[in-house]
Amino acid sequence: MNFFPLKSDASHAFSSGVSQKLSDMDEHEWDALVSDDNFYNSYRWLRALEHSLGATDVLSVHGSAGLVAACTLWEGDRSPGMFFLPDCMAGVPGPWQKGFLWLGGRRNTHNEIPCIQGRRRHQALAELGRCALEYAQQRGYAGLVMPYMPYQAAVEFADAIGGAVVLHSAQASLEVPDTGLSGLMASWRAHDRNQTKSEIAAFRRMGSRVEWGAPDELDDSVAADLITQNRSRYGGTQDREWMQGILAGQRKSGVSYFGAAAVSKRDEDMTALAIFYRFGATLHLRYFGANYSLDLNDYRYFVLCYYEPLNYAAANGLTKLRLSTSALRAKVNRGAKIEPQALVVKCADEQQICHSEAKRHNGRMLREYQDEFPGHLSRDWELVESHPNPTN
Amino acid sequence: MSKNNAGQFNELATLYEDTAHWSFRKEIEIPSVLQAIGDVGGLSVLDFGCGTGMYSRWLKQRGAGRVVGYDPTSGMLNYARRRAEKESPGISFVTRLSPDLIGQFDLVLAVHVLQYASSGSELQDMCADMVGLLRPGGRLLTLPIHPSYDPRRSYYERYGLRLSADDLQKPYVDGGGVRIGLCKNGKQGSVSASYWSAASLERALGQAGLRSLNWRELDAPECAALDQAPKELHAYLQKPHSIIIEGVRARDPR
Repeated sequence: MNFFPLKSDASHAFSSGVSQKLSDMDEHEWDALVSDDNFYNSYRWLRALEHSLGATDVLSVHGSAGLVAACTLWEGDRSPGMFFLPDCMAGVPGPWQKGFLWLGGRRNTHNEIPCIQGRRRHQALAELGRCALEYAQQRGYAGLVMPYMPYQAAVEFADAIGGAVVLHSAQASLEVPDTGLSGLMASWRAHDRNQTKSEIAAFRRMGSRVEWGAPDELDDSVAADLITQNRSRYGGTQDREWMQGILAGQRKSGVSYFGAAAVSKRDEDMTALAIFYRFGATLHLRYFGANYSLDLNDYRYFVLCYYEPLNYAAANGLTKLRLSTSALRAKVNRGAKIEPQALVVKCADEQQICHSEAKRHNGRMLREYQDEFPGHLSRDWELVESHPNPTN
Repeated sequence: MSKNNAGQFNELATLYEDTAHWSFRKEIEIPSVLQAIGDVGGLSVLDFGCGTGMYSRWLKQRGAGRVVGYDPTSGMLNYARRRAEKESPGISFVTRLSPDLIGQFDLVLAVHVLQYASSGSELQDMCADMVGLLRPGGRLLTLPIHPSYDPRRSYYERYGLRLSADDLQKPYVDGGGVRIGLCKNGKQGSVSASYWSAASLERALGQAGLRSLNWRELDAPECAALDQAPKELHAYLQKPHSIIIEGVRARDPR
């Protein structure tokens, strides 16, 4: 194990260091710090990324009895998109074109720091932040950033490390009733209920049906092809081989064990698929793919990504469906709530962040979401109102 | 268990799980407990103070029907959840005992739990909770600190365990402080516990409605006789730090 120690904060009796690969860490010890909602920072998901994309450094903080906080490190993207800092920080002046150290899994759209619970949690987060900044300074980064954090988690982390919280995204999720889709529909207006019923009816009228299975049962080349077709349609640049490599990494790490694939078929033709991951009491939607050469107009996206998984989740004792960050309007129209996501940023040179600008930006973004999704915002948005930026 | 007592376990999950591989547990405690439990096929089991869920997983793997792990410590329970979902799916883990669990279980197992009652009334409440979870005729197995444990810090040290009475002059006083430390392979952690005499334990369990109480010394079930156990275990076997108490819930507890 190549473990490079960093100077520790002796007052809390922590030791910190950097490993060059995740396999240096114990899987169960790592996952003990990971909550149900933080699937994309779980050990097997991160190991899958290592297998597919190569190892990255891992920052860890240990107490006398074991691991107390940790996260993987990467560099973000160098071109515009969801993981390009100037895009994430649009509207907030700062040195965002410079290189920043990114905390969390590569291309994760949900990040929380794996960290202990209890009275030393704050100190453990603070120590992780201190070490991350030291690591960033040693390597010439302008600072550190952890993106796509639930607002509350971002406030907590920023408070511990003296960073700034910047709202930059939102994600959709559904509380799953015991009775699944029918239970959810019972709470809707008649118009929305009728729309859903007509979409499901159209799906069936076209002769389509849904089969659930394990991702391991899928042919990776077929799955990668469908997912790539969908991503290309919405601006994705990676090709089918890249996606196939991602799926192969997931098989190798064992994260597929948590997977569930909903496949729509007409006769024996696979027309679309959605891949989910079960983690604790949460079902996470990760991939949708479709054969767009079949112009079916059968609402397979909604059937596979919203309606079917609600029943699947209810039948499997899962209580939450996480639907990620895209197509929020379509998700809201089908019962989802929108949760705020923020990044935590800390510059090596503290003067470079204008906290009042970040505060104004958060307020602006809050109002935009309030205007666009009235009645569909989760309670976390109240935190944005009461804590527009905790460092102020 | 009070919040303070529960909170002291938040950072100890991995170290505690490691103890399953330490000789005093691997060769003595765990086989003794599993032997005392016997066949669990189809039984409804609650693991009270389940910690990292190791017994919950094993009982599920041995054919138990419904298995519920209860622990008020979120750090422990997160370990339990994450590991069980990979190795023994189907266990539910809870941080509080909801009313719908009362009277539902054939077996309640409570390993290293009663010592975390910090007062007589807390001990009574804990026993009442455990027994109340049993259906009439259901069985409780619990492992408190042995009323005759050796209170010297060094006695169990060779096993990775440090057990020391706060007051070495009066180690066997009800409610007296005991420091329990785990120390092996460069990792260490410790928690505060309380000593309870055999009389206090029997009284609390009896008042909770447990009958047919039976005390079982831990031994090395793999060995035909104690003197055939590996030599390094002899000191522990002479003065085990824990003991099994078992009993059944009275059909009419009051």
